[in-house]
Amino acid sequence: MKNTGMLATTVSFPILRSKEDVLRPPGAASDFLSKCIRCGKCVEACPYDSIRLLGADSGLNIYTPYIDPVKTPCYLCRTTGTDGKSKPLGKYLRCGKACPTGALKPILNDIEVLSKLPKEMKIGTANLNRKLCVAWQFSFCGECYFNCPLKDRALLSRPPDEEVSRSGISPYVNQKACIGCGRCVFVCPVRKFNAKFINETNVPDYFQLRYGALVERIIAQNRDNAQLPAIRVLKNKSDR
Amino acid sequence: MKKRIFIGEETAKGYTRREFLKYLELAGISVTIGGAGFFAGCSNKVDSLAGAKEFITRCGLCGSDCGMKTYIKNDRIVAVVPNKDDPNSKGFMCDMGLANVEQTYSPDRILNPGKRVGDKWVDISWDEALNIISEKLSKLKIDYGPQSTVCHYGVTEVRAPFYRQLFRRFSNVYGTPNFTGCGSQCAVSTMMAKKYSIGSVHPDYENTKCMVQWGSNPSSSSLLEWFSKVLPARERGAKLICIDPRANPMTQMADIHLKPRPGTDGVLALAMTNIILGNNLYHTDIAEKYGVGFSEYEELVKKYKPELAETITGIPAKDIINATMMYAENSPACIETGNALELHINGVQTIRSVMLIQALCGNVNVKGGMISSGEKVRLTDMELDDYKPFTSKGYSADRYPVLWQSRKMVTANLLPDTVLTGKPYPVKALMVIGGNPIVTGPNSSHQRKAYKKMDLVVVYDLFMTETAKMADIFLPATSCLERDNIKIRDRIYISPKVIPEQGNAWPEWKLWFELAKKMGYEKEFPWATLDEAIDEHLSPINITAADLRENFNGIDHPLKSGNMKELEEKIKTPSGKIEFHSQTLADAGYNPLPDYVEPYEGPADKKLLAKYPLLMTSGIRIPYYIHSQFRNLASLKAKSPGPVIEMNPADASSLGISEGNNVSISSLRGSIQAKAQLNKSLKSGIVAMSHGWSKSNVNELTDDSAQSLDPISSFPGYRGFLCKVEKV
Repeated sequence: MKNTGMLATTVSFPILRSKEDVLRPPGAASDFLSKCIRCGKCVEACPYDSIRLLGADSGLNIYTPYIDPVKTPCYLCRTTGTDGKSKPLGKYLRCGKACPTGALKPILNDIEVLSKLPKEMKIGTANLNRKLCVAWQFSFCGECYFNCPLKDRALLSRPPDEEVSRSGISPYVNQKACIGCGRCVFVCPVRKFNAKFINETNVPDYFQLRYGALVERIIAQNRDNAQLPAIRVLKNKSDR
Repeated sequence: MKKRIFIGEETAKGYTRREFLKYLELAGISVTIGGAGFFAGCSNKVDSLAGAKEFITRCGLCGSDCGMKTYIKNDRIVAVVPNKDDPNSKGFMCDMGLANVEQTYSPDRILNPGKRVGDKWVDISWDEALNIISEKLSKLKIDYGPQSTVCHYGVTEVRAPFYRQLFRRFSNVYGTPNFTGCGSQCAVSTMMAKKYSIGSVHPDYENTKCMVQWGSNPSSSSLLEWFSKVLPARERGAKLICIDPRANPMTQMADIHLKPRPGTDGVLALAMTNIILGNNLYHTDIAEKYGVGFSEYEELVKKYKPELAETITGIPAKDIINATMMYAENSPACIETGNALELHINGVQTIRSVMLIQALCGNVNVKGGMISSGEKVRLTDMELDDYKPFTSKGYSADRYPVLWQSRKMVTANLLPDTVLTGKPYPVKALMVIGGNPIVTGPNSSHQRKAYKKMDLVVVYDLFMTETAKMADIFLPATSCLERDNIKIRDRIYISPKVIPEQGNAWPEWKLWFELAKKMGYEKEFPWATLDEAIDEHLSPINITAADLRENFNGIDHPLKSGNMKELEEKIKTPSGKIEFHSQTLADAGYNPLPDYVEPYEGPADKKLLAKYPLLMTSGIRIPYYIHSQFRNLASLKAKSPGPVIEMNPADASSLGISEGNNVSISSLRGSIQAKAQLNKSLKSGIVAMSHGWSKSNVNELTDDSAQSLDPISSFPGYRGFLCKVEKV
């Protein structure tokens, strides 16, 4: 067990108190909490350091793994080859492969399989709030769409069946195909830009300069109703 | 923490390593992934910005002049971001502005003058190019007269009006009356319509209670205006009425959205006037004291009841009434009209009738309504308007007398006709400066025939456009960041260049200075530098170019002295009154009243409708392109990859067409192909396409025959003509 690792991740997240809100790594079984022995092997296995461990104030969830896409999304154990195309790092997603108890089930790292994942194995589902979205409000952006590993399956460039005349990207989540990896959340520029937040969320300064004026307008328009970012991964009742 | 096993797509530091590597390879290209550019570089943590100097300027791709910060290293731009501190744009910049770097360093750019020999292009020096041009122009002047050369300006008009004035100066000194350009299909129709109705005024968004966007979609076409004027007005609670056959990002936040059949806006305006007069919602003193011809107009408008308008426009009468009441009851109100209203045979009169509504409701020269900027002190005329009388009239002066008299312009839309028929006189040469009329002008195949016939075609551009391909001489242009730009509006400012000219590209002013020397016009072009020319232009107000360079935010253009209130309330029409009846139009043989006329190729022509059952509105705006520009820039292409034709879903399915199918679109002029896209917001019978695509060029379908053009402005009917669509 890596002590420094646990210490580093025992930062409390008050909003993650209830079990329903916690985004588990992909492949979490329906009886995850009873199977998870808090060994941390999934944390070790993750090539992107996306998996973190919950802290002492998460009650029964203490030291269980979770994913916070705002900090680091799940990259589905994929990378980009020299040809610019996405390719898997291995046959299975590493976290599930490493789990000794089956709290996380191994999942085949294949786009066809991933986009047809049964509900129980989803991390969550992306939800886009159009009122907060730069693309929907101003026709700019489209970052989430371009960064989605299941682009044109889970995240579409236009709603398939709505009355819209839009040029460019009007992101639309196909909830059936979305795994909830959170890459869209990570790149969404709609967040409060201040020094603390930048360090926490790792959004490059360029984003602030590029989208700042538009984001400020969105935040001003929505005031207290703004739950940022514009796209967030939430767990549906049926997700585990 | 555990050792990193693999550094993949993203490190925990939050920038894409792939991007970072690519960025270092292609230093200076600021956009890599997808459309919006998840750019690793512009952060002071990244090495590649080390040693880069910051230069503040403005983008010059459109008239908005959004503030821009550029980062320059070794005379090369490494990054471009919006300038949060710019008082005008306040940190806004559209995707096109950010793609400036891609455009400046695009491998497609032509950086050396060229001469076409058969199908091949041969590099030549500027000296040789200018020699060829000056010799040819001089010879043509002797053999056929100076009117045999036509001067065509494109987007330089919007980007850099000062340079267009130098172009006009050159053409006036040469002696050709044939000056034309994008004013044959944009803005000039509205200017004329306003001049002969309520005068040159614009919406006061800051104070308005109700905005009408009529055939205007700033959310896709005038992005800074959308962001800094229209949206804030909406947020302040101003009502929004949109009149557009199609939904767009703006109509989705409208209080009322009316969808007229394309080309029938004039009837809608007359019906609204009918409702306003019928319900006594108008200011009688404006009509009687400040108006000329009101009683004639009142008589004309009587027959345009809402029910008649419903039959013609397709908008339910009660919606027309609701919209009118909302406008009339929420004062002060303003109406912005767009290019779409200009591009019909009835353009000028339609816009006149729309403008007159505003006068009747007391919204002209009123805070929160339509305001004027106040008359400014006149600057030195750089065009040399009165240089010498022309030896011939412009080739379309007789057909479009008001256009000729008011702006000394001919219409580019009749260039092919003139060249191919030789009437009224031979036209042998054409200079196209920053324009692409083969793609953006009407009836492209007709344009091509005319270009082939001419003895000399000179094109000045950054890229080998479809028009450039037909040139004899290609002159390489600078991008806006390689060139000083001076803007003279309410404020006068210079946006300085930040890098030297790339390759052998020249800014426009240098082209005119040097070509003038070759032609022997040193006396008329006496300046050694751009700043000297600017100094001459601004001398009446005692401002120099040096002053402007010291005051980046600019200096106010002084107003004419006199009673400020009077200056701002002056009605800038020929009679000084609101012109319901325009004597200028009457004298030229046009209807002095803005009556409605059916569009040229529309559903009223039943025979044509049977063969071409769909009504096309072409030229819908995409916020990633300006007309035919930027299609070769990867970041923008990623967001709008190809031309589509938007169709009503029921129409499409009755033709066996599904979303994404390849279809052919034909009109009386020709045929093109595009992918079908279903759009529920379009009413049955209406289709919509964007323009500017060289492979699916909608102007292969449009008409340039004289009888199809607006008789007053000469504008073509891009926004409403019949076509048919078939699955391929």
